[in-house]
Amino acid sequence: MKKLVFALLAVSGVMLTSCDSDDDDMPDQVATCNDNIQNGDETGVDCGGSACSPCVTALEIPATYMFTREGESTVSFSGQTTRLLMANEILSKFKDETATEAQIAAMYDHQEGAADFEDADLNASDKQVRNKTAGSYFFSQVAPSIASISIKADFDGYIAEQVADVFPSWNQVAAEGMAGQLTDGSSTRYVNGKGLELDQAFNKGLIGAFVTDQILNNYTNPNLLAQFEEANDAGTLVEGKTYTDMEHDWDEAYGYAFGVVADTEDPIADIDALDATDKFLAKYIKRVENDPTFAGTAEKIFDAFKAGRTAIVNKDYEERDAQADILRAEIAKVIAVRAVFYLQAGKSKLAGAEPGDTFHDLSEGYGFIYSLQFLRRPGTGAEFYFSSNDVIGFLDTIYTNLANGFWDVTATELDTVSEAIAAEFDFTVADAADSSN
Amino acid sequence: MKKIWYVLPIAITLFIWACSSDSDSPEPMTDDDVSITDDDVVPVTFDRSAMLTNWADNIILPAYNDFFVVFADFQSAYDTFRTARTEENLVVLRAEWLEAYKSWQRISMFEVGPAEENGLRLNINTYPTDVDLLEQYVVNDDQDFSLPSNRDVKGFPALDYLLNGLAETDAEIIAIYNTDTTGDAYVDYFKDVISDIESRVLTVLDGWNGGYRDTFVANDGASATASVDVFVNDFIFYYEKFLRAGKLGIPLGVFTGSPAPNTLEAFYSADVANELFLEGLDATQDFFNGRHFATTGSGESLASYLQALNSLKNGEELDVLINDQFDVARTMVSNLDSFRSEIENNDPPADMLLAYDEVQRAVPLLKVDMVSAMSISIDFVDADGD
Repeated sequence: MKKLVFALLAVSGVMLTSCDSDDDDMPDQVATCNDNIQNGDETGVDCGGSACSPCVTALEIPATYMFTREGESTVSFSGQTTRLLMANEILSKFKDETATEAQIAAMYDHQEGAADFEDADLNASDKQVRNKTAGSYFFSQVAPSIASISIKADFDGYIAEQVADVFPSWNQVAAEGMAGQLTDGSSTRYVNGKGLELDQAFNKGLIGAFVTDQILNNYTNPNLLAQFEEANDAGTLVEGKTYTDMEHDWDEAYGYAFGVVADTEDPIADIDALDATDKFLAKYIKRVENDPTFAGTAEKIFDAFKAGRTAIVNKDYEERDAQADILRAEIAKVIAVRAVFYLQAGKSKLAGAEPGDTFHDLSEGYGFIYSLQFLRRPGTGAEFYFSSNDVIGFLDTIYTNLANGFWDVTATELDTVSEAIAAEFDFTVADAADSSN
Repeated sequence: MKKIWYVLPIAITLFIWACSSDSDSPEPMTDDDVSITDDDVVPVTFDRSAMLTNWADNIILPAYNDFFVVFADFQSAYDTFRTARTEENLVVLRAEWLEAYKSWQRISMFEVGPAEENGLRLNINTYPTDVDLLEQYVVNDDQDFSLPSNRDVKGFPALDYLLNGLAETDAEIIAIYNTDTTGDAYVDYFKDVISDIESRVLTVLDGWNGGYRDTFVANDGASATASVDVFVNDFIFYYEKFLRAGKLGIPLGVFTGSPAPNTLEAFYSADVANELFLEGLDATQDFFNGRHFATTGSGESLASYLQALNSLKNGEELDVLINDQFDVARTMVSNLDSFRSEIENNDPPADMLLAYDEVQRAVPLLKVDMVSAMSISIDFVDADGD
């Protein structure tokens, strides 16, 4: 009965109307402390008054991401930390020109016990990055099944192309139509024949396809969390754990954002430390935060994580979803700002002395553009800021359709795409382009 | 926000409970204007016992009985083949195997009671077959089919390998069966697999005939352990894990992003996987509608239950929506080439993925909408992965 009643919330409007007229028929109310109704002299539902136990005060939002139950922490996101560390190692392997495609692919598609990584703990883990690439509830339950398969194929493709095209040309200078290396100040950049650094496409693309998709479209997704509401209401803990399923899911979202930073309980206390260990979302939350135009972004994200988690403890799912919407809006902005920033940075160096510098920016931009397709608009079930076709169109414009890719791109194309991205947000291209004010 | 009790969902719940309490009042409910049926009135509008009787007597038992009729033909075709191992007899044996395999699709979903206790489905239809291990057993003749580790060297999938996978052409396959050194070993192994299938299904049928039928029908309440609740869970589990994932999703690589055609049911046969899927889908839909096995009659069913509950989704009748979804799925799958060629010749296999999506669309209708209308709890939850 209880379960059905909760399922009826959606039609509560109808129910309310039909109930109103019945209220006159209600018998006199006596305090009954377990009927889910505030009656008698109860001061809340089944609590307070002369007969029932006192009402529980709601948890206030804590200063840091710390939640406990009977003195023990209820926060756990070790699986996310593991996956982020795996992703970091995969990125380093893109720079090992002796690696085979099978080796890198095996790291990406890690199987428990396989000796894919330097870190033995990672080898022992049953986690992997690939199955969480476009692997959210949204992609498994809502999107056409071809979507997730195609996205995984893109990342498989970056690995394959790096090994097949870039590694053989590792020790030659790149040129139009020819893979190889380029100078970027003190750094060396390795690009394919069209000037794209595939490790950047892989890295920045995963910020959307892996990290953000898991945060927004999986673990803070109201449709996913709804299935745990009954258990969360009842305070049912996951077997052998200190947390409820829903609490844990929210923590897993948090872990994808801040799972490898130095201070996981208070990550924004030292903003500058965020990119010391993280190469994905946290790193770019820092970058956007450091642009005065967007100051406060990191705090908004951190606060939304804390407030949403607090709402779950308080069984307040409307508030939880409101905080999830803040995460959607703010994380979308981080990714969009960085996409525009890199396109504009690349543009400012076009025809400069070092194409490696330009192409590095454009390659990062490429990955951030790819990530745009995972950003769901707040308050919607399946509405995205950009469709995957939008994203493909952007990449066609700046890269795919140009015979020699970044070697051929001009300011016009970079501005067209930058404007189209910024148009969906409340910032301008100029706001994003200049990170110093 | 100081008190947890005043959050909106709970406030709404309070109103609904107030509403529910009306059903205890002497005045009859007149809430036909409310689109969702209150579960307080369910028991008086639908006879769960009649549905269980229809399931047991008109669908489940006739399906098991028919399986043995079909399986007997398969066995006699085997006996013929054993004595005369010709291409002609191989073709007949293969056709009878397919009939038996399709008959299995009609009982696979009934993994309840004796079938569940005996793990029937895993013992009869685990694939892909471990060919290396099977070959080893053929040579050594030391297989023990009671071991769980040997579930993937027997059942219908092993027969598929023995009938279709030993070599490319029928002539070559026949040659293997006629080889002095190994021919009899293959034929004997074939027989062992047949016997294992027969005895296991017979155990289950005996269970139904030996008391479980009455237990099943008598347990007609509405609780987590009542027959309807248990079986609806089994039914949805079958649809989601075995029909949708096992026959389509896993070979397509929906869950891994990597197609795996070797995990197709009846992998060694040209286009049998399609037929087996469609037979399973037909069985699913017939069961949903309470259609009597192999006849035109029908009785109380999940569909009529939903009708009695007047269950609507977005203003449409839920039982109609579910049937429509099954029909769309069937049409999409029917238009495909053999699953194996769809997967092996297309990257990604777009048409088959679209067909899969239509099969998938029935899952929330069953697993969310139908069960909530019937106040049935789903007792299996997908693992989170972390």
